[in-house]
Amino acid sequence: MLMHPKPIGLIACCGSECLGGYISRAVAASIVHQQRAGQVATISLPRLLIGTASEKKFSLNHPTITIDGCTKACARKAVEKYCFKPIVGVNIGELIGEQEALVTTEPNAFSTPQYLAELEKVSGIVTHVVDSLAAMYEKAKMAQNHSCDQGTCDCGCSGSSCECGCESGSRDMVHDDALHISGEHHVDGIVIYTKNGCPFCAKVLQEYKDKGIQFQEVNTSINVWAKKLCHDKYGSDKVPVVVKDGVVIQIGDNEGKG
Amino acid sequence: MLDKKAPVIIPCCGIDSVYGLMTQKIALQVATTAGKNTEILGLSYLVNGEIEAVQRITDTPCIIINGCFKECASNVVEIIGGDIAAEYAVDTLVAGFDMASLGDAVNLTQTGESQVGEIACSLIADVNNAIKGAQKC
Repeated sequence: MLMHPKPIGLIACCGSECLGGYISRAVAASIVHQQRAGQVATISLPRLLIGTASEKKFSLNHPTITIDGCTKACARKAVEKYCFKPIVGVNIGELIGEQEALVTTEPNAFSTPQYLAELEKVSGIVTHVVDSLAAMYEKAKMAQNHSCDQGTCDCGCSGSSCECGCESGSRDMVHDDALHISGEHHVDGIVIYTKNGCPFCAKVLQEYKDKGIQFQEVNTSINVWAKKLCHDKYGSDKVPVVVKDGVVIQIGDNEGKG
Repeated sequence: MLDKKAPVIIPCCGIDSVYGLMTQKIALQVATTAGKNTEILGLSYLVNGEIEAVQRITDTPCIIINGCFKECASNVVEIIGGDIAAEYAVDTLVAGFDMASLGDAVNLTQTGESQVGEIACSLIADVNNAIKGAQKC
C-alpha cells in the first residue's frame, strides 16, 4: 500500500462566485485550523501553479482531498494537472444540491440558519472523509510495523482477526470472511456498508445520524468480506449500501451516487 | 481601457490566514454594492488556465484583491495575461492592526468585520471612480 509520510492534505477551491465556493473555504479552514488542527495540512490552490517547489509537490507529499464548490471542479482539476491525483474529490454541489451551490452569495448570508446548517452538514461529511482516510493510513502503518509470525507484533492479536493488519490476523480472517459472505453472520437492523474516503458514504451516515436512526457501519475498506458481500449478495460494486434486516433498501446516496 | 467591459473582482483564495477570509468578504461586499458594474471571478477558475476562464478576463479590467505579500491573485492573472486595473493587498491595508485582533482564518472579530467594511467602502469608491469618473462611495 502507498504510504504517505505526511498528514492528510485538504485543498479547497475557495471559489468566490457562488455559495458552494464559500462553503468549501469555510469548511476547509474550519477543519484545518480548528476541528483537526495539526492533523491536516492545507495550501492555497494557486500555490500549485506559482508556489515554491515544495508547494507544487503538495499532493505528492500529502494524501489529498479536494473540496470543490461546483461542478467545474477547479480544485480537483488543478491538483491533477499540476501535481498528483487527489485521493478523494468532494463536490459540495452533490452534497447540498447543484442549484443551491450555485447561488450567488450575499454578504449577510453567512449568518443565516440555512447557511450555518449547510456548513455544519458539509463539515461533518468532510471530517468523516478525513478521519476515515487517516484511519486507513494508520492501519497501513500498523501493518507495516507488525508481524505476528516474527513475534514482533505488539498489538496482542496472537494471530486472531484483530484488524491490526498483521499477516497472521489477515490469514485467520479468511475463515471469518467466508462466514460473512455465506450469510451466516446476519445482522438485524440497519447496516450501512461504506469505504474509506467516500463522501457519499459520509453524507448518508450524516443523514442517518441527523434523523436519529440507529445503524451499524461496516467499512468495506477494512473488511474484505463486506466488499464481497456487497458484490455477491447485494449486487453492488459501489457504496454506500444500506441494508435493513438483510434486505437492501438503498444503494448510493439519495440520488444513487456512490 | 476601463470602458471595454465591466470589471471583474478577483480575490485570492487565502485559506491560511485571517487576511484570506477578509479578502473574500471584501470582494463580496464590493461586488454586491457595485451591483451590475462588477462581478466576482473565482481565482481557482483561472488557475487551471482553461479557455473559458481566460476569455472571461480578456479585455476586461481586473480588480485584484490579494490577502498577503505572496500576491497569488496578481501573479495568476499576470501569467494568464489579464488586464490588471487595480490591485490591493489586505495585509498592507490593515498594517496598523495586530493580526490576532482581526480574527483568524475561520472567524473575524468585531475589529476584523469593521475593517472589512471600511476597506470595502474604499474599494467601491475606487471601482466606481474607475468606471464612472468621480462617483463617491
